[in-house]
Amino acid sequence: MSEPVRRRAFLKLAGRVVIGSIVIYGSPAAVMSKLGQSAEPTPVDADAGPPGYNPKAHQWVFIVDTARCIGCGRCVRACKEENHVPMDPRYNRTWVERYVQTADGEMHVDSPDAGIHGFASFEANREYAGQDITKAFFVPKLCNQCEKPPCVQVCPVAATYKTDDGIVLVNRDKCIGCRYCIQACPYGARYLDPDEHVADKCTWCYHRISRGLQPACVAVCPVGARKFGDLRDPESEVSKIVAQLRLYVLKEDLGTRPRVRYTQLDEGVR
Amino acid sequence: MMLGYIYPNETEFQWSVLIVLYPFITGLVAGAFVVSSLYHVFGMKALRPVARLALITALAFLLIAPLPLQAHLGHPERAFLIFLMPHFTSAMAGFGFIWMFYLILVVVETWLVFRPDIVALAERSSWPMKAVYRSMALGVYDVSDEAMEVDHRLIKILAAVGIPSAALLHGYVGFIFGAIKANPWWSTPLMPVIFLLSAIVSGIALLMVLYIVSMKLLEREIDHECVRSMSSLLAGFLFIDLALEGLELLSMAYEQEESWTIVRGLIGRMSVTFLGVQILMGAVIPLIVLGYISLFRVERRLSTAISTVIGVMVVVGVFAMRWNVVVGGQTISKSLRGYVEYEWVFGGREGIFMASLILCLPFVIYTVLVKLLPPWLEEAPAAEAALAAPTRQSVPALSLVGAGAGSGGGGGYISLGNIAPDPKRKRYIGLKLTLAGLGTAMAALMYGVFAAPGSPGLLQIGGSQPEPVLVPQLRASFPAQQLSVFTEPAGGSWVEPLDVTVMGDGIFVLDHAGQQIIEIDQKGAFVRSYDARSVSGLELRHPHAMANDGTDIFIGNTFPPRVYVLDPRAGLLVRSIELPPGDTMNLPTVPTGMTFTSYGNLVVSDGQNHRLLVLSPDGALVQAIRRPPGSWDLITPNSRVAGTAQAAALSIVASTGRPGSVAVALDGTILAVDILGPGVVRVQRDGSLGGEFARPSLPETGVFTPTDIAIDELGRIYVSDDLLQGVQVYGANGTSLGVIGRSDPNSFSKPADMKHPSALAVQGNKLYVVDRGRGVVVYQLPGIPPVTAQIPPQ
Repeated sequence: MSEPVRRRAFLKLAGRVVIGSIVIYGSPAAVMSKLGQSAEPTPVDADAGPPGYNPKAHQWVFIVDTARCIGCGRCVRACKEENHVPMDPRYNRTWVERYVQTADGEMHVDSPDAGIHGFASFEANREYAGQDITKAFFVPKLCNQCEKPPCVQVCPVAATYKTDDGIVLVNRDKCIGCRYCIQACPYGARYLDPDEHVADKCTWCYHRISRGLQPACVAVCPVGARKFGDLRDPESEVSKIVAQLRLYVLKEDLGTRPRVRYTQLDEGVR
Repeated sequence: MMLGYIYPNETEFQWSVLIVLYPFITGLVAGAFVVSSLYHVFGMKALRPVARLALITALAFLLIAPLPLQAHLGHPERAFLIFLMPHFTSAMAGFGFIWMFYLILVVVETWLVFRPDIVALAERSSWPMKAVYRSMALGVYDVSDEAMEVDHRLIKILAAVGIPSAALLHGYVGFIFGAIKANPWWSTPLMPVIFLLSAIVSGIALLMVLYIVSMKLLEREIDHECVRSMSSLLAGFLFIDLALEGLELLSMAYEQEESWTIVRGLIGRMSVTFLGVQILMGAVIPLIVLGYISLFRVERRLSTAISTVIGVMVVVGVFAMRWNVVVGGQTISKSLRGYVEYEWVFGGREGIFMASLILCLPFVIYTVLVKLLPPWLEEAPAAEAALAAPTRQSVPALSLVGAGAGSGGGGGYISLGNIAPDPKRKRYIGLKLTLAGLGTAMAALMYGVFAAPGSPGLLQIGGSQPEPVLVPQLRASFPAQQLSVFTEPAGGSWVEPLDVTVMGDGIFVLDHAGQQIIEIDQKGAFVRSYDARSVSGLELRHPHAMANDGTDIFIGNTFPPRVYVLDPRAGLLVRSIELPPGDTMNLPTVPTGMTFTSYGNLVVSDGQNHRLLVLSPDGALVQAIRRPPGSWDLITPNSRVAGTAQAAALSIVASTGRPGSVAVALDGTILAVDILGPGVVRVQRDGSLGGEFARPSLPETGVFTPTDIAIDELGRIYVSDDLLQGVQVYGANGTSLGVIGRSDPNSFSKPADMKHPSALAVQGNKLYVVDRGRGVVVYQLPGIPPVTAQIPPQ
């Protein structure tokens, strides 16, 4: 006999809860979604290729010949100029590391000001004064454009995304600046743009490569330590290198499958 | 600030104290909610006094939970995107939904639990509070037994759903960190479980403290049995939490993966916050003390007092745990070679002030909610009776309040002390004073941020503002005007122009791969070529250097090492001078540069044997100049002979000095380019060292890959640099005057006149630069009158 009353009260209450929730939380969302945002990644104009560029027709690859690099730092400078990266050494799309092994077997690593001024200064060499050096080499670093990019995986709003030709880009109009991608990148390739407060990273100069140009760092390298090309083109230099030489990638164990391949890497280069 | 090597982009700290607050606050929510569910679902009757308080606490903290995240975003205005277009592979994308679901759950459950109170208050109170309560009642005034039964059933369902939801809410926060494989300190599947357990621990501890303090402030009876069961619960969860954390560390230490070294170092660096506060103060000591008071007979009031202290210690310990995870994890460089230093910031969006403000807010909301919906209403008649009793003294309570409210409480105490002892008005005196204290403290903090001189603004975007860094303008342009470029001799051709010398009107270009010398005129027209076919005996094999004495051209040949003396007018080989081998192992001389001294002697630099040879015009060896021991060998600071302070301090790693091109300065000293130093070395007439310059230790004046050197009649020194793709100009004393050949000497991406400048010659006011493999570029030098006596150039 009290059954109908209970049910009515229950339904009444449940109804209120549901309707209230929809009104309180649903309406702003409905309005916002009308503003034309979509969950699909949308490329940014600045980074997107020109009309007519077909990303599906390319498979870009980047090869770093560490034996050739002389640590002049021109690539770092050219990158900053080309991509309007702040000159502040805390923000870099690419940088050059120096590995120096002293006679005691110790491996020293440094990258003063990201290597932009080279490594010849007195300050950069003070610690090696009077020491015997058994080997030394430079390792240019940049975004690996991973095939399984952790940064894309963790972005909560899909502001960072992978194009069909394998490049990972950031939609600067969508990035909320949570910096989760910066934490997730095992290579330290990302930074928060201090002016626009969005994540930024190397794009392999997508605006250049999609127009048939070389990335800025490749174009200015005086010794050919940086090589860039299309694996779909079997005649390209990179295709031949990939086919014939032994190449390594950084932090292979993390399963990110980097697209930047290195020659002559040594133990301890991460 | 850093130790060891860190990736350059890691210098900036990404997640700071606000992101520490976020898991801390959500943890408190989850913990408090679990306590209320233990009563509602599992029927732990001992928790009845705090069950309603737990809901209020959970709600107060839940409302604030997204705030630290919101404040931390680079684009807070885009935060809604996380709701509208979540990217579901991201652990963070779920936050909006989980939080909202949980908020609805907690609000509905709170409403249901407090519904009878709301109805009663709506009837009892007067305007304007009546309107507030009536709106809160949502039009439901049915408090019949049937309605209450429905409510209870709903509460039980919601509380039951709430337990997995709480686990989800906080386990998910742990997953945000645990799923980052890039960070060895975060990446562990245990992270969500540890986060969840520490959340429950912190929630119980906070609730215990809030309960005891609130009861004290409101002068109510503390239910010691309730405190005791909360202590036992706390001890239980704390034990599991500690065990899991220990397990994680143990497996890391035992497996000894690549990252262990850096993790071990991190633990050492965090010894205070990790070992001290989190483990010892926040877990081990509380566990021992709580174990003692639950196992042995301790007087109730004492055990409650101890529980309060322990509760505070545990909450602080859990805060330290969040700190150690969030901040500690980021101090590890992902290069596994060093540590980033966390720098404290007071103002700004991610400063200490913002964090304290956000941390204060839940307590303000808690106070308001407790005032609005007193969770201890059912005991009210008894408490009121106690308050009204004439025997009760209010002084101890007031002093407690004064201590709790801090600086803000002092004034209130005196004024309130004069109010007539109306028990009804005094009821929330503790709360009022606490509120006043909180308000004063926040106002003081606010003043500190907005008004204090030099303090960073609260609304300033970004935690740390980048230092204004100017583009280093290291190099200046030298005002030489480009006159002409001869890429091919008109009417002839060359293969690989490498060196040049100018005699009279003739420009003699050494074609390295063509094994010939091409003479062109000042307009670039082909005049004549000299090779083995046209000049008998001129067998050029890898010639690298040329010079002239005004009548003859001297060509340095490598195989065999000899100098050919060519008379271009007659087209004859006048003679050839054999170059003597070096002292060590009889290594043949490689003539890498040639010039004439003011006495007419020929200087040949021998890059192979690290020496300069001075030959008389007839070819006899006059002098063999070696640098002081060691200086053209492996260069280290210890062997460097001081010319200037900078040079004395110079160190070049693993490179060997090697003389390249040479030129004679106006004062008669020989200037030799050190190819591998790199730099320019001045050699006195007696062969002793007269100083050096153009070392790359000074980025504004240094050379990188010097290829040739020339001097003009004003004594200015020109050094071509292959890497710089330009010609560095120095005054006679080595001070930098600028760069020729670059549109922007500070930019490598701006075009340069030459790709591989390899040789220089100066005649009068003209500078001839060979762009290796391409041709000759001619510049007009400033400051020299056009008609001059001919000075024999190099």
